[in-house]
Amino acid sequence: MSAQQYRLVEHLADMIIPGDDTPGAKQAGVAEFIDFMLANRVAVSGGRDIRSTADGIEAGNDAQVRFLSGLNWINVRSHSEFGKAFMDCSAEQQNGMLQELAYKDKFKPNTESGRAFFQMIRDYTVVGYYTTRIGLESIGYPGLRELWPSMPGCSHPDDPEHLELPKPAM
Amino acid sequence: MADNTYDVIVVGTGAGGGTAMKMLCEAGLRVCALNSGPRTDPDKDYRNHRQVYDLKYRGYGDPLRFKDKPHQEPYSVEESEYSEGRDLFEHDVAYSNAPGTDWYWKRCKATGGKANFWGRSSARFGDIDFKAADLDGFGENWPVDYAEIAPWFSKAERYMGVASTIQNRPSNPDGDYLPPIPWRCLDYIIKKGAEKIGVPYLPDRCAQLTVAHEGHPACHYCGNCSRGCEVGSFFSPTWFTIPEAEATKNLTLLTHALVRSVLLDENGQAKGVAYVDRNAKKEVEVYAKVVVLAASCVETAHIMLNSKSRHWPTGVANSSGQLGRNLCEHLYGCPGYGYLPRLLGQPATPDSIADSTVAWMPRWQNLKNPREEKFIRGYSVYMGGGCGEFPGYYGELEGFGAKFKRDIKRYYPTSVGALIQAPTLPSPTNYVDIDPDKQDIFGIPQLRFHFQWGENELLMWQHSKQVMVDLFKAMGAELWGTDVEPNRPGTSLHETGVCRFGNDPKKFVTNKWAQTHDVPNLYICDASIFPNCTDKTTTMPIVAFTMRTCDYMLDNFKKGVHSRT
Repeated sequence: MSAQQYRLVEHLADMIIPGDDTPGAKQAGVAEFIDFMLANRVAVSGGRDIRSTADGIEAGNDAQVRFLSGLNWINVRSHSEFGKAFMDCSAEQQNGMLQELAYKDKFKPNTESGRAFFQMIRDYTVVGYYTTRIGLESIGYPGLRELWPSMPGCSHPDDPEHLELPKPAM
Repeated sequence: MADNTYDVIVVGTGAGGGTAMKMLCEAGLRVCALNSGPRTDPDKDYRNHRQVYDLKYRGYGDPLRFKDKPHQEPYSVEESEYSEGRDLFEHDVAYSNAPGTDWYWKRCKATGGKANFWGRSSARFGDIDFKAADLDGFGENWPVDYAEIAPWFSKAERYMGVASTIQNRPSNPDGDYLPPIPWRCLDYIIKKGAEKIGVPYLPDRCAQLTVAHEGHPACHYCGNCSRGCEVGSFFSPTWFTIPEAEATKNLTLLTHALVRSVLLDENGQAKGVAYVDRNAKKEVEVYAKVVVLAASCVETAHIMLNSKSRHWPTGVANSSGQLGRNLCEHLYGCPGYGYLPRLLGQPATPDSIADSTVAWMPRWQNLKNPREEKFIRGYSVYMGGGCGEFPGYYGELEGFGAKFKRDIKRYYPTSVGALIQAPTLPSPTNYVDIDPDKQDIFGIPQLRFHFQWGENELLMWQHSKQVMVDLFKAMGAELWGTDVEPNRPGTSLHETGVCRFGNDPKKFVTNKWAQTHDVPNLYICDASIFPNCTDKTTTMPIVAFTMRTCDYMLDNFKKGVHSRT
């Protein structure tokens, strides 16, 4: 990936998983992860049956090609919509473009390859983020501890159907 | 006495072979055990307290790791990046699939075998299994009944340590149990839903030490059992049978020793085994008065089919022609997954720290009347879910940005999914044989699989999908989807058959003691003797039947049927 492409990936990943009360994709180093996985030809999605090294490499090569052409698609699209590169668009313009790729009710005709790319970078971003300490802490993954003195189990023994749980915070 | 002659040779060191060598060594016999791969070193091989972010490829593994290997397909769950760089799984010995067969043969070649990483479910078989042919008219009864085998189940359970409760169900009789694993929120919700549709949801029989047991520490709930337990808090040969056999000083354990055939004397009886020393790349022979095969079901048949002589032109002890026949397996697949809206936004709970199916739906079909369903026999279902290692449900959530991130957290405690365990029925078209055209890198003729799902198990698969629709509704859950097709055959690792036991030498490979009908000094201690696989798993029964077989064999040594060296 060129430096320019890398910055675009870093930006897109942080749009997909932004910082809020916990750090986002940029701080979790997701762009570096994506760069590493693509360079080593590791596909994280696509549902291919990997039965041999050749299958894996083929899937990884395909991911590489589709990812890079997807980045290109994003800039071609931003040029045709707004007359400039994606990174030069306003936050609102960028958000609008991604919305058209991410939400069914906002899909535009003839954007299939852009949508496929969005799913792909979303897969890489989610995998890259939720396999870091930052990502796992953001959802409160309890398995970061090496041992528990006992299996705590359910803490609502009086409510087996769990119909009277406290109202969630979010 | 020559150095390479023993009382008993045991081929394989997994659930069956490990148990056999322990019992025989403790009885004072000189035992040579052969294992096709290296010795398992828990500290180096399991590495289970590493976190996913410590792994270079975050669990996906180096895509070039099997480059140039004869068998390059990775073995899913059991073989992960956590043990990468260790030589635990078989990638050097290839196997064949007949046209139309898609068998996935996962092999752990390190000592202890697949029992280093097993799922730990340990239900007893019952007369509903042993006498199923009487009930529904299909196939053959087992040559044992529950009354005969129950004491051996007790011995196996007491030795291994199995956590569960008393449940009074005919499909999985009660045993001797440690306290059960405490239930999680989702287990209680599933149970309430299951009650409403008349399906049982009960603690699994789980060979996981909820309390310290026979010198083994209680589980510390790190949650990574399927990568191997580094303190030995669940039964595995690595922590139980192998060190106990070695403590007797009667054991010679040969590693990197890939057995190719049973050696036969001029009378067609077993006199030892021939193996490939994989390090030295040479052929070696060892000799014994008795040979025990426990190479993991189909590999046992592979060795026997490759053991030919004047007496046994189609493979040793194959006068019945049944060697390799009647291959059975569990159909696995997800008949339903989704989420529990009532848990949305609740705090994360440590649902995966027991890394176990805490509870399950033991077979409930065809119990009162063996023909009440469109299929015969029955299946079980394991349920999982809750807060795990990765938010795999993210694909169900649309969009990106702050809301997407918040949704991933909100849904974290809610996911729930099912795994069906449906037994196949023995079929004349499901078997293994020797590929006439292919040899592995050591020149050993390759094993070839012939296997298709049958109508009965596919009816169970359809049935389970409807049950999940009903269950999800009853427990107030939303269904996201199901697997379209079952998993590939071989996925469950529960293959049975290929050396069925039974009383008639014309129809079965071994007698009820797992001693081959044709060759009295050749025994089998793995699941290849089981005529079918039932809806339960095989490891605990392998241990129980092995204990019983070894008890019988030791009696034969006492009576002079077998002599010592």
